[in-house]
This record gives sequence, C-alpha cells and structure tokens, in this order.
Amino acid sequence: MTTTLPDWLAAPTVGVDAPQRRPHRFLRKSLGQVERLLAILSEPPGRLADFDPRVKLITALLVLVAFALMHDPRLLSVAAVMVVVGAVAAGAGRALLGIVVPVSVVTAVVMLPATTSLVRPGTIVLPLGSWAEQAVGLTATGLTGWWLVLARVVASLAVVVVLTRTTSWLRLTAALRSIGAPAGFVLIATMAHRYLWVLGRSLADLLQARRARSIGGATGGEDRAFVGGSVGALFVRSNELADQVHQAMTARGFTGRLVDPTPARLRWTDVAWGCAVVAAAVGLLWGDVVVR
Amino acid sequence: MSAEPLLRGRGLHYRYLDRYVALDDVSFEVHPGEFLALLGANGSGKSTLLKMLDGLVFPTSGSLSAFGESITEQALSDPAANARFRSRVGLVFQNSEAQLFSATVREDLAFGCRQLGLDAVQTDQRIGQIAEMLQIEPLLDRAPVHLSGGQQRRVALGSVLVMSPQVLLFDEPTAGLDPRTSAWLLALMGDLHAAGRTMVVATHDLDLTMRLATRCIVLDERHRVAATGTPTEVLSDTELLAEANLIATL
Repeated sequence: MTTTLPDWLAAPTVGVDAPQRRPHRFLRKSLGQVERLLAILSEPPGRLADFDPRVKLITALLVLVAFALMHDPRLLSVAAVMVVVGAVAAGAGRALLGIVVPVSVVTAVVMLPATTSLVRPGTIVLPLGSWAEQAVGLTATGLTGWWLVLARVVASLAVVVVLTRTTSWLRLTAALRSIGAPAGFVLIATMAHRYLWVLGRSLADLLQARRARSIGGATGGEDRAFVGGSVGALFVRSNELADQVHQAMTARGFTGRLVDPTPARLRWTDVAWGCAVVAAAVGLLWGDVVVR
Repeated sequence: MSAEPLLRGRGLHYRYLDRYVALDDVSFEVHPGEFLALLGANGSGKSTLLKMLDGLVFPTSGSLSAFGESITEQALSDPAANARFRSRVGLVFQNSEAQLFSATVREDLAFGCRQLGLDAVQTDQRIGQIAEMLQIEPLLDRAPVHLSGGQQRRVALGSVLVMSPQVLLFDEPTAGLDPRTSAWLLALMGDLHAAGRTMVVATHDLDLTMRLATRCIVLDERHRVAATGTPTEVLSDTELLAEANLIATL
C-alpha cells in the first residue's frame, strides 16, 4: 500500500521562506489564562490540602464569625498577621498578594473619609484645617474604626484564600453537604467543576493546535474567525459532553434521585486541626473581651 | 550517527501546572532523516515531550535546541526564529478533534498554507492535492467537529502536511483507528519517511515501532529515559518493556 505524495511533499525540505510576522500575544496570553484556570481547578499541593475539607470549611466559617465579632483592632491585626503568615506557609502567598493586597488598598481608600471628624466626630489627633468655622481632622475614633475594618478585611480574606487555595473545588463543593447545602446543588456544582475542567482542557488544546501552526501574529479578521470557530467547536463539544454524561449516569442506574454517599470518617489529624482552630477562635474572642 | 542533530534536548525537566512531574532529566537527539519512536506507557511524558519539541510547552529546566538554535519562549517571540521553526516542525496531535479549530475542513487546511504566505491559487492547489492524497475531498466543506474519528485523523494530518514540515511529530497516530485506516496511515508514514522527512512518533504500538522506526527511546513511568537503541535491541528486552509498562507480565 503506497500513497503518491504531491511533488512539494515528496521533495526533501529544509524549511520555507515563510513571512515573518511578530507572534502576537493573543494565543500566549489566552493559553496562560486557561492554564491558570486549570491550575485553580486541579488538586492543590501542600500539607493543608490533606486535611478533611468538611473540617476546614466549618472551622473557616467559625473563624470568620469570630473575626466579625471582634472589636479590638490590635488583636484583630495580630490575628490577621498570623493568618497571612499561615497562608504564605501553606503556599498561598501569591494568591494572597493578588487578592488581599488590591482589596485591602481599595478598602483603605474607600474608608478614608470615615476617619475624618466630618463623618466620625471625636478627638482630633491630626488637624487638617477648618470648614464652616469648625476644626476638621482625623479623629481617634475614625482611625480606630478604619484600622478595625482594614484588619478584619485582611484577616477574613486571608482565611478564604487559605481555604480555597488549599482545598480543591471538587472537595470543597462536596464539603458543602456538611453545612446543609442541598444534594442537588452540590451535584450541579461538582459537575460544573468537571465540565469546566474538560472544557478548559479542550480550549487549551485548541489554542495549542493553533499556535503549533501559526507562523506569526494574525490579523484582527483571522483572530475573529478563530474565536468564532472555537466558540462553535466548543459549543458542539459541550453539547456532546452533556449527552455523554447523561448517558453515563443513566447507564449506571441514575433515575433522577440523588443518593448521598456515606461520609468519610475523620482522622485524628482532622479532629486535632479542628480543635486547634476552634480553640484559637475562642481564645481570640476571649482576648477581645478582656482587652476591651 | 555522525550528522548534526536536528533536535537536541539536554536534562529536560517539566512540571505540568507547576505541580505534576511530566519529564525528569530527559536528554535525547533527533538526527536528520531518522524515524524515532518514543515508547512509553500512558502518562510517561511522551505527549509532553512532543509538545516541547513543537515549541508549545517549555522546559522547567534543561535546554532544548532545534536546527542549531535554542528553543525558548523568548527565542520564539522573535519573528524570524519563529517563522524558521514553525515552518519546519509539525505536530499531529493525539486528539485530532482538538487540533481542528476552523469552521470547515477546507478552512483548516488553508490555515497552514496562509501561514506559509502562499497565495490563493497555490493554497487551493495544495488543498486539492492533499485532499486527494488523504481521500478527504468529499469532506472539504464539512465541519471538522461533525466528522468521525478516522476522518478527523486524516484532516488533522492534512492540516500539518500542507505546511510540508521537515520534521513530523506524531502523538499516538494509530490510537483509536480501525485496522484498515491504521494500516493506511502506517504506509503513509513510511512513504513520508522514505521521502526524507524526519519522523518522531510517540507511541506504545510496538508493531508500528518494529515496522517503521530506526531508533527508539523508552520513557519509564518515572518520566525518565529508561533506554535508547534500535527497535530490535529495545523490543527484544522484555524486562525493560515490562518495567516501562509496555507489555504486561502475568
């Protein structure tokens, strides 16, 4: 069995004088974004990832409630620093930088007017001038409130970042059952995760396939055609995927009734972790009462 | 082999999603005109290595060069280096469906021709010839996503061959094909090799390796190079094949 090759394919080649166009950043950036999405959806590394997600979720919620009840900015700041240090140690430092820093800066700026005597009357500690024959400046109560809100935002965000970056989405959504989330919601969230993963992989493959055959940057029209074609292809695939998932579930006896799996038993390390976090939260609340 | 290698990797390491080891200290050379089989079990890193050879992923550490030039993300951002590399190396993906991104088969085949700077007449001529060779003429105006697996494989192959690359990389080319299509594809790969193309094929198809390969590299399940040699040398070492999970031992 032989195939007759066209002349241009039969002749040995050493490459052609392809037009040199600057490889534009569309594909590289898109691929980078898809890979970041896949990294978020995948199993996270680190020691904290090993703890039972139910324990992590419930203790995280307890800690958030404790932070919301605390009123001493010094103690809350200490807690925030401890959580941030823990987050960095757990390998979530980069995520923390990307989320906590911008949100904290925006919070700090938005809260600035509340530090002035115009909004929070009190003892002026830093005079700024006068307005309508009244002294205007930063007040002690305003600054304390500003500090309190900022510390609460940083600490709470850090807890959420640690929880989400050390627990896979799949385990996290499954853990939602332990706080009473409906089984249907958890199933849909779990399948959405799986769907996003498959779609992300398909999209990464499409972008790589295009990059493999792209000699240079594309024109706007070519890019639009590619995006259009990709959206169409992904739409068809997602439809097929939904059909296949339904068929797979039906083949295994799914009739629309959801059965909860037997929850896994907690290990002593999970219990120890849970106790330690609860003790820390209670300690912080007690300290807050004592300090006030 | 005395000729200067076309592709060379030294101490290549790669971690997928910055986490999972896919390649661990892999070194190799690909010489002009050879038919190199990359043998390994599922998950041994064959596909990652092929994507690296096609400049789609880049090593976490180690060095990779092609045609005497270093292949890095930065190097390929240079238009001249990118044009030289992309026109000379083509990859046929394992998942043909993923490789085809245009609305019609004709558009997908035309994409590579346009990248090469061919005009409309040359592009049409080349599409016609490749479609005739791959027996996909009736499919030209159909959407790739609606084709069967075998048809998609032919179109994916055509989308790479229209660019006439010097080095052809194949990822599991016979996986999922019926016997007739598989035999046809192997014959075509033999013809392309006989015509002077350098072939690198990732596979765990030992029959393909015995029939076509001139040299083999075995990747083990620790993502390292376990052995290199001729097909006869490698395929006669049952202990090596069993350890690399290429044959089953009961």
